[in-house]
Amino acid sequence: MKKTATIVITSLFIALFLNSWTQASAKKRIGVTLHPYYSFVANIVGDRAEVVPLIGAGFNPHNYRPQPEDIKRCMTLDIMVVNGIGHDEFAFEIMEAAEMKDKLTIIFANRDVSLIPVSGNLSGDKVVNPHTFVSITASIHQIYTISKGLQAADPANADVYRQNTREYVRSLRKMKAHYMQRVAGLAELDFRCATIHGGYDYLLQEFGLQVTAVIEPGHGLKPTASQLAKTINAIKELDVDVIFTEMDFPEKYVDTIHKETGIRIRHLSHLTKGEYSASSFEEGIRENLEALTNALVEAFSEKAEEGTS
Amino acid sequence: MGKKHPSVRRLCKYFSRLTGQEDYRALYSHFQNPHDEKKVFAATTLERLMKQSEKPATLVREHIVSPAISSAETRWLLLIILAIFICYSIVITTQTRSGAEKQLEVWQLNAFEALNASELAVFNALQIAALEIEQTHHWENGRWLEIEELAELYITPFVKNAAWRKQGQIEWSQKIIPGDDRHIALYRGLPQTEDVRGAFLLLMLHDHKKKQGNVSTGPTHAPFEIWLHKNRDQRFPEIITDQALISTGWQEIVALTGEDEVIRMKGTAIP
Repeated sequence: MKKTATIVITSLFIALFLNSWTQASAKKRIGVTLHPYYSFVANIVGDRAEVVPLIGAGFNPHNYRPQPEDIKRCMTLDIMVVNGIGHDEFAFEIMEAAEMKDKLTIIFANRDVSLIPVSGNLSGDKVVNPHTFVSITASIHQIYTISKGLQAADPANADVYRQNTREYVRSLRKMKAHYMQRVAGLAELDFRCATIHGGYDYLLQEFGLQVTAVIEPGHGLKPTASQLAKTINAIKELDVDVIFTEMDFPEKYVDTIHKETGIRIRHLSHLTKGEYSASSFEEGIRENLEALTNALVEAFSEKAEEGTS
Repeated sequence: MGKKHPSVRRLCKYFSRLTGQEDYRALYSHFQNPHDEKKVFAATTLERLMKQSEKPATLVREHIVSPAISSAETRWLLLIILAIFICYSIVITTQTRSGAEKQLEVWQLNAFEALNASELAVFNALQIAALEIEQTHHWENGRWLEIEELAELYITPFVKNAAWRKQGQIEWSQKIIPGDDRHIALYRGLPQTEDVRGAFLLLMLHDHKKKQGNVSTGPTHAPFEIWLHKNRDQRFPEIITDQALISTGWQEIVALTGEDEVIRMKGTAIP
């Protein structure tokens, strides 16, 4: 009898040990809400954790309504990384519905990021710009914040996360430096641009540039005929060099402005479309930097030609 | 009227029945003569009578119904419109003027409200640079990154790129103040153009943990602070305390952060 009791107790201890060891060694499941955050987290954690998009690729996060499968997915997560300042409110609805709000470790990527106003706002109001992920510098700040949060939530892998973060940040900074060098000789250029919406202020800030006018009156809204006329007049008066439009945005408004003003159009990406991947942020932001620096070089060449003729 | 019109005949019969006459022919005879004046009169009379007999007259009574609480109803409607207008005004104001909500001391500046675009870009870049400087100091035996190293690592605002040229062309210099428990490094930036209106100071503060009995003490302040001085040629401060900096004209710049925005949007702080 005594022998049987000893075997049972020993077995229980082994089972408990194995259970706790399995839990400790299990990969954390980290939920993300937007494409850039997938890339940020994937590069920080490498193969030490699983990155799970909260919603499927191809959905527009601006008007997303939570689905039942999102709630089920949310219930399997350990950590959630959010933008938190206006782009992923659906995540809070999903967490609420899944009753996971108090169970998850929520990392607010923008917690410490210094926010800037939407420039070129025709109303003149100072409105906070939530597009901190459409940039290198503000993204680096978020990557540091996310990394710090992940190190605290998963201390077993903290050193790996720290090292990965430094390497990832360094590669992003190098990319920015490459494009900065492309336009290094254009110091005296007085460059004016209009954008289809106020999502590119953080990106342009890196180049010491500011948006002169935002064509879209509000995020996700189309301009009315009178607003369009007002914008066209404003662009004509301000002598804008280029209009940056959003990928996949209906072209008719931009075409109208192009016909009325003759100003060239270039495309920038909002970085919240396509498949989730570790490299999607770098690819998207590289395309943006390419488009931006091309526009700068073209505008500089034209102005230089005008000056000599 | 050579040929007798059947409709006239029927009208005459109809009228005769209405008036109780058995023979309609007397009336109809008037229509035999085309010049008979009675013909016209009889025809119009017949028509009128026929209409009256087919559509019996109805009695129409008009009543003006006034609302039981007409004046109160108007007042309520106006009040509701006014309430909706006030509510929307409050919502719009709170949604758009977030920068003004941050409560600051008199010696602090709100970056979102007080800085121009170039200054805000320098301030934001300094915040990221400070994280890099702090990490290097922590992991490389208390070493502070030098200005040239920061530029070589492409760290703005120290690297002299296109943005640097448009954002004040700030010349940076460094001063390290060694100490036993607290290490301090100052990075001062003096603008060369009017795009930036004053001197920047990045103040790095690093407390090295020390044991007090069994209790480990951590830093009691932020790892870095960013200050601005109206004098574009301001020298390094001699004494590094808040009071000393304030008394020599420095103002601390405070960011409007994502955390502030979360508080504004949700009414609660980030847990």
